[in-house]
This record gives sequence, structure tokens and C-alpha cells, in this order.
Amino acid sequence: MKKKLTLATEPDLDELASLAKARLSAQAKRARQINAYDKKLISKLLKQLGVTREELEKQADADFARAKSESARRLKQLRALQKSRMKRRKPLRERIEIAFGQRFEPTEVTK
Amino acid sequence: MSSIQFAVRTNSIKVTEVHLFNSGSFNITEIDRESLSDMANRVRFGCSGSSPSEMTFILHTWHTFVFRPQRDVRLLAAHTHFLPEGTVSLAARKANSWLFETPGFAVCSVDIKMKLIIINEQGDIPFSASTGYLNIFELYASADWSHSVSKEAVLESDLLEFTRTVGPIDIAVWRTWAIAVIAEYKVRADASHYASFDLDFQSFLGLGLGLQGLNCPMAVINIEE
Repeated sequence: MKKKLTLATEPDLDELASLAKARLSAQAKRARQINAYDKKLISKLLKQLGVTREELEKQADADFARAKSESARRLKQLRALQKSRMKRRKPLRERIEIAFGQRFEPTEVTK
Repeated sequence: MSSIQFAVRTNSIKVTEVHLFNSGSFNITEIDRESLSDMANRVRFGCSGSSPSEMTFILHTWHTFVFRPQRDVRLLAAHTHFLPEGTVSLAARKANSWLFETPGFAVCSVDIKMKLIIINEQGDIPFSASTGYLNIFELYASADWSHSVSKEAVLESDLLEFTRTVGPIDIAVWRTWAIAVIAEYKVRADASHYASFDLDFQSFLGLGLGLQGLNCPMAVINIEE
């Protein structure tokens, strides 16, 4: 015998919302457990390797600082190059007038 | 007879910015809009951010040029010109260890787009069209488990290098109507897992004539009378 289909009523929707909420909180709990397990596992492995997490973080921070300072130095050089290129350029209005004067006729400047 | 009309000063410049981050530091210098002199229709800004988790910064600009035809005309095409100038530097930190940890990643991109809107005397829009986004710049820094990575670039363009066009079209425009041509920039920067970005679209390099910023020097329409 076929089951009769009924539309979801308000109590059903409430139930769905609470189920969804429960599911989300279960997922969050599971994620926290996985993170805690990972952390524990990493600490254990690092201990076996004879290094601490703090040491590795320190190394990574120092490497990051080195990369940033190298970048600042290279950026300075790039800006100097850009500056010399800009000095050689004609003013923008003049460049536009030359470029468009060569390409289009007749022209009408509106503003 | 077909002719070309130029507009070199915007009627308006609109800017919106969005920044989303879970943690980290973020700093944006005042966004400066200028359409004070011909062809310097620019948005100048500087922005830096770094995050141990996720960070996103998006800046949108709309430069609107309005043409009011003196006679009844037919609009054949509309063009916008983009002249972005600025510097971008990115840095991504290596992961603490190779165990379950993600190295840093940072990316910056600039996209351009244009929109054409025809407005009649009642304020209705009988015709509108827009192009898709065109990516004109992308830089990324992706670290690995052994090295931090930093990258930098100067975004510099030449005249007529970046343009967007709506056309060919053939639309009747009466003398009481207006043609709005909108040039749009979208700048996006992301940093994740100990990475940082620094965007500078405002420094004048001490020259006094620099065009640092997101510039739209002009809009052009092709019409037939």
C-alpha cells in the first residue's frame, strides 16, 4: 500500500532545524577531536625526532622574515627602475593626443 | 557621418571595499578618489594584510563617464581605457613541519570590466550591456615545507594597452538621452596560513607626475549621425 504524502508542518520544520543544529555541533566536536589528535601525534613524532614545535616555529618565522626582507630589497630596485622609466615618458595628455591623432580622424573632444 | 567622441573626466567614481579575515592584522590607508584634472580619474589606495589563517581583501571601483549627444545619433561602439599603476609584494611562510601543516599562500589579481548604459529622459534604461571580467594581472607566492617564498611586481601599463569594448552595436540614441560608460576595476588579494600581502597604488615615487593608482584616462564612443 502506498504511503500518503503530507506537507511538512511547522513542528516538522522545527525538528529538522534542531537535527541540523545537532549534526553541526557533532561535526564541530569531531573536528576538534581530530585537531587534538593531530597535535598530539605531531608532538609525539617531533619528540621522537628530537625537535620541539617551538624550535620549528622559530625556524619558520626566521625564514619568513628573511623572505620578506629580500622582497623589500627587490621591490626597492623595481621602484627605482619604474621611476627611471616614468622620467622618460611624456605627459599623459600629450601621449593620448599623439596616439589618437595618428589613429582617428575626425575627432571631437567632449569635455 | 561617423565620428568619435572622447570623455576625459569622469562624472563620478564609486569605490567599495570588502575585507574578510578570521585572524591576523589588516591595514588600509585612506582610499582617495580623484577626478580633478583631465585624464587623472584615479583611485589611490594602499593596503597590507597578514594572516595565520585566512584573509581576503577585495576593492571594486566604478569610473562613470557620461556622454550627452547634441543630435540624434546611432551608437556603434563604446570603449574604456585602463591605466593601472602600482606595486604588489607577497610573502608566504613555510610550514612549521611536514606533518599535517599547510604552507603559506598569497595571491593578488586585478581584473577589468566595462558596462554601457543608455538612459532616456524618463530615467529608464532602453539598452545596457557589459563585458566579462578580463584578468590583467596576477601574482602569487606559494611556500612549501622547506622554504618561505616572496614575490613582488610592478603593475605598469602603457597607453591603449588595456581596453574593454562593447560593440559593434547599432542603437538609436536621441538627443535627450544620455550614454553612461562605466569602467570597473576589481582588485583582490588573499593570504592564508601565515602569508602577507602589501599593495601600493598610491605612492608618487617623488616625481610629482606619477599616475600611481587605478586610472581610467578616458572613455570613447563611436557614433553615426
